[in-house]
Amino acid sequence: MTVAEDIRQLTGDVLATAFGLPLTLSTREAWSPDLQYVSGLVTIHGSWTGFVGVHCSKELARRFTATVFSVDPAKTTSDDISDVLRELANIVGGNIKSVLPGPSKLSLPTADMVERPALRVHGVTVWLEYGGQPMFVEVDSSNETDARRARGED
Amino acid sequence: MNILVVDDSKAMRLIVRKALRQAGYGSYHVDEAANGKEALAAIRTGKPAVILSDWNMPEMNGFELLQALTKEGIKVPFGFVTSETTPEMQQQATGAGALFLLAKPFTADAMLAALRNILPPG
Repeated sequence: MTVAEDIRQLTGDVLATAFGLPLTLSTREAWSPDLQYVSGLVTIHGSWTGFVGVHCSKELARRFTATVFSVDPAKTTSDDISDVLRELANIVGGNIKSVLPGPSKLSLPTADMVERPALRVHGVTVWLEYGGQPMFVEVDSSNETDARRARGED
Repeated sequence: MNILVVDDSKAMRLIVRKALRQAGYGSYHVDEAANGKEALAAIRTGKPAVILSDWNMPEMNGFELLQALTKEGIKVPFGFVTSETTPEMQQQATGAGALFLLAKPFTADAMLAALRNILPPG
C-alpha cells in the first residue's frame, strides 16, 4: 500500500469512525476562490521530519463540528471548529507517523482559519470530499529525501 | 463508580463518552480532565474506577501522568486512548503500568474489548 493510499484509507476511517461521516475520494483539486479553509497541522520530528496538514473548507469543518457536538452547524463556535480540526490532524498525523520511518516525535496540533492553505508539492496530497465540500490531507517535508519517503519512493 | 477521561480535545472527550455509552458503560459517571495536571488533581480527591488518557497533551502528557501516579503510590487501572500506537510506545506504556493502548480512531467494540476485563459494563 502506498502512503497516499494509507492516507486516504486512514482519513476515511477517522471521519467514519470518530465523526460518523463517510468521505469519498475526490478526483479533482477542488479549489475555489470563494472558499475559506480551516487547517489542522502537526509536525513530526525525528528519523522522518515534516508535517501532516488536514485542510477542510470552513463549511465542511463546521459540519464535522456540528456532528461531533450534536448542534446545528450555524451554532458551532470557532473554538469548537478549531478543536475538531486539531484533533483530526492529531489522529491522522499520529497514524501516518506510524507508517513513516521512526523513531520520531509528534507535536501538539495547531489549527488556523486561512483563505487558502499553501499547497506544497514535494510530498503527497490526497483530496477528499463530503457533500460537495472539499478537504485535503498533505504529508510533506522541506527535506527532499523525506518528501520522497512520503511519496513512498524510498 | 466513575471513569476519568483525560484529553485536551473537548471533541475527543465527547467521542470517548459516546463510545463508553455505546459499549455498555452508560451507567458510570464520567469525569473529564483536559491534561495530566488537571487529572492528577482530580484523582487526588477521589480515585476513579479507571482512567482513559490521551498521550499527547500540553502541561502534563499522559505518560507523565502515569509516572506521577506511580510515584505517589496511587493505583488506578490506566489505559491510553491515543493516535500513536507504535510498538515502542506500547512497550513504554505497558512497562510503566498501563493496561492497554487503544488507538484512535476506535469503535465502541474496541472500547469494550479494552475495558471488559477491567470494569464490568453497566
